[in-house]
Amino acid sequence: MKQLAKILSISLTCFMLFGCAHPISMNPDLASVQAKDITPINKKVGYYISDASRALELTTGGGGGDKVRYFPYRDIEPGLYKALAEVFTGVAKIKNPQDAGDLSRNDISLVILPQISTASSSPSPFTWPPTQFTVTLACTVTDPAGRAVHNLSVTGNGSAEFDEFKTNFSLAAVRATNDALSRLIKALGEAPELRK
Amino acid sequence: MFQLSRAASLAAALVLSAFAVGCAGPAPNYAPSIDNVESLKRSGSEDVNVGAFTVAADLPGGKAISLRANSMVSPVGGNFGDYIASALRQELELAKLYNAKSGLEVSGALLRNNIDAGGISTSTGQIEARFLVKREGQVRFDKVKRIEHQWESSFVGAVAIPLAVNNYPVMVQKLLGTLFTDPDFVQSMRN
Repeated sequence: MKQLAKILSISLTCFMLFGCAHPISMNPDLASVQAKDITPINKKVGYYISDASRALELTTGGGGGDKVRYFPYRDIEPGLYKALAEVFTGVAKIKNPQDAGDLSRNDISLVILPQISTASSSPSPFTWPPTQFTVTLACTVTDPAGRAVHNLSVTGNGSAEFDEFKTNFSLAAVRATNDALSRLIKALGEAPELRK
Repeated sequence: MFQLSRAASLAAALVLSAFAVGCAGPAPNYAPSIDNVESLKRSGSEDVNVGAFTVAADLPGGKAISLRANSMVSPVGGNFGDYIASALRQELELAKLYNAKSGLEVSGALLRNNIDAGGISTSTGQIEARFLVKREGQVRFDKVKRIEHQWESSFVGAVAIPLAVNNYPVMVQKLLGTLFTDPDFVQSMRN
């Protein structure tokens, strides 16, 4: 019995001390990405995310001395697409924001270049999923010739406590992404520069 | 000898805990593939409804996929057929082609749903599903699509299991991608 207890305690210690970066997902809940009280802007927009950005994996803080890792651009992209489709009458993924001919052929009136930054943390010494997550989404909006039309930045916050995230370790990140996308819809919809 | 046996037990416990730890709950929310959405938009398809994706009661991985000592369930509906139906609906919605009242309907059956997360350096997953397109009940498309997906993994369960969980939506994206780029499917979705 004593030996079993020893084995269990060593196993537990081993588990707790594995200082590693745990993979999580920031995939938003698309049902929550919805415009409220916004008149759609009658323009088709193209957004550009480079392949290098899509492949970018970030590592930020978790609990218990561990970290979490995720692909912010790859995970947010479907939510960004939906957010833009909620505000504008047309949206397309573009391969080169400097190809004016391609933009013209596809009737793109505005080009959106998103930049994402994140932070996460947890005060828990025993569990690794983050309890706090922040997503900042900055967008540079240009015309097809590359002239600046508008710049905006929104920040979404997500919190999740142990009782909530024990079946979804990504919950704080998902909530922060949902919040950032809701704020993005509002900021785009309220920008008069984009309706000119 | 006794000392050796104890040491072996301790080592086995350490290895086992490293390999199997990490809890898994539901699969992540499905993330639509924008390439799939753009394929749908270019397809010239008319509006379409999504029907049921059936799952045989005895299909391994139909209701829960085993990931080492843990399991993963669908976050929507009661099985992974519902997950695929929901994924298809989300991509059609983003392409503005979903209409619950359309006489054109995509439905199907999940035939295989597996993740092998036991690999030390790589893990693999397979999905196989039958897709049917019907217009007013008449079959216009009937094919089985299958994908295999591989990713870098880890011996440590606390890394390997979340990686397996996060790769499931990617597997579904690939499955739907093979469907949307099938010329027979595209033709069946046009008037």
